[in-house]
Amino acid sequence: MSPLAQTDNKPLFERGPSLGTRMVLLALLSVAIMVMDHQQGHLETVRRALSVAVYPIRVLVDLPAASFGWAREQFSERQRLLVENRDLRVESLKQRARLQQLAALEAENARLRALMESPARLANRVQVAQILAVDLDPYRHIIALNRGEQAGVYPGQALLDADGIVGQVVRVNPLGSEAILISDPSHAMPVELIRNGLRTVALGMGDVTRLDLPFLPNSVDIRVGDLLISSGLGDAFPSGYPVARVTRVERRPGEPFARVEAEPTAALNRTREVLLVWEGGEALPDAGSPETPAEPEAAVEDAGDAPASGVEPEE
Amino acid sequence: MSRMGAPRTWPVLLSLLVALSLDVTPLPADLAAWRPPWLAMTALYWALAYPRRYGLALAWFAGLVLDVLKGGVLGQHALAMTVATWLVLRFHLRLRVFPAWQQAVAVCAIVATHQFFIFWVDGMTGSAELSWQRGAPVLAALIAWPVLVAIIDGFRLRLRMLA
Repeated sequence: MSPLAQTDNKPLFERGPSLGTRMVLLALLSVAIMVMDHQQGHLETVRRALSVAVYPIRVLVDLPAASFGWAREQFSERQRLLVENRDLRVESLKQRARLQQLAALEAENARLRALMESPARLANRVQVAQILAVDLDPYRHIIALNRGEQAGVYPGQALLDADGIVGQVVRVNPLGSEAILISDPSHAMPVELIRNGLRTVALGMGDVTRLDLPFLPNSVDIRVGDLLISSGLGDAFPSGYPVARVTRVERRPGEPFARVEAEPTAALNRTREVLLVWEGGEALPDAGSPETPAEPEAAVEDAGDAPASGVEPEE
Repeated sequence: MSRMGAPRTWPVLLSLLVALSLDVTPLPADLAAWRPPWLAMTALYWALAYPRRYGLALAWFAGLVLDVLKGGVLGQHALAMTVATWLVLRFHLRLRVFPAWQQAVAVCAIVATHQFFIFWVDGMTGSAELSWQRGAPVLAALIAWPVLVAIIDGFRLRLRMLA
């Protein structure tokens, strides 16, 4: 039959432990590693070392998607680029007009907070990271990012996109990091209803278009279309960012809780870029991230100074 | 070694690297469940080709690397691949003389064991639901095995690793 039927030489005398023994030993070793990794997280050094070794594979696999995007930019028509450019300029003008108001509002907010003697809210600082086009576990919603320790990423850091919260970083490697989406079945995040301040928890369901809000009683004041924002409780996520919009409210008289579902506002499975958030605007030495695309970072960078200047006239 | 040509290491490592990449290459969402376990099948191929050279230790280490690459529980794929390779080594004399289709079916059964261990660990460490999608890689392996054998055999012929 096939060329597979040929063998390497069989030694005259078998040496070392038998096949079964070796299998059992390796299986036991695997189980020990799983227990140590899953329950205590003792094996971070092993994982870090191997993750540096496998990072090139992730980049390599990402290459077709990245080069496709690059080629599309290079070869797109001048006309289309001009149109796109004009649209972006209009968009940016609108955004900046709204930002002018925001600066005033932030100043006012800071003054009011000072009057009530509550601590001022700090502006957050963000940096753009690319999602690598790599399929990790199909049964979990984990993504690979191209920013790691060298960019100052830390475990638990929140990820945003233009429309809302995407997820949080779970593991940081020297070169890249891994993040879990808010739609992962093992993820839960504290949220707040923007209309009436009702606080609850949103759980992932393993579906990027749905979040579950299981702990709301039947009598609760919630409607389809309500916006949920992050409440900032639990210290994992910065407060005040949009998370999801309620899509379904089913009150079940026979059950203790209503069935409420919401759709994430962020484009969880469609984005290629996400924003990493540093709360309070500290951390992140600029020199540490040389290959960051300059434009998006410069645009968001000076947001940190606005409230500080607004506080001054108060005295 | 006369009929075989020298077993060389770099084609083995190269094929394992390619298999690692195929294991995380993005697929359309509808097809994601149908990805055959490329790395496990490549390790099985080499175990079948050189049972005394590329056996359990290589499969275990390759599984560990895949765990890091996929960001899952460390040891999950290592365990599943160790068990699958053990089955292949145990029956390698019989598997080799099977006709191609029968070999594919036998490998399919071994991949089913592999998938079972993956599912088991998933269930122990998190929430895992049993659905038809868990069986999809096994069927995909049935189609992918003859392709994989044809490709690697072709390379080995060209590299004179086969007579």
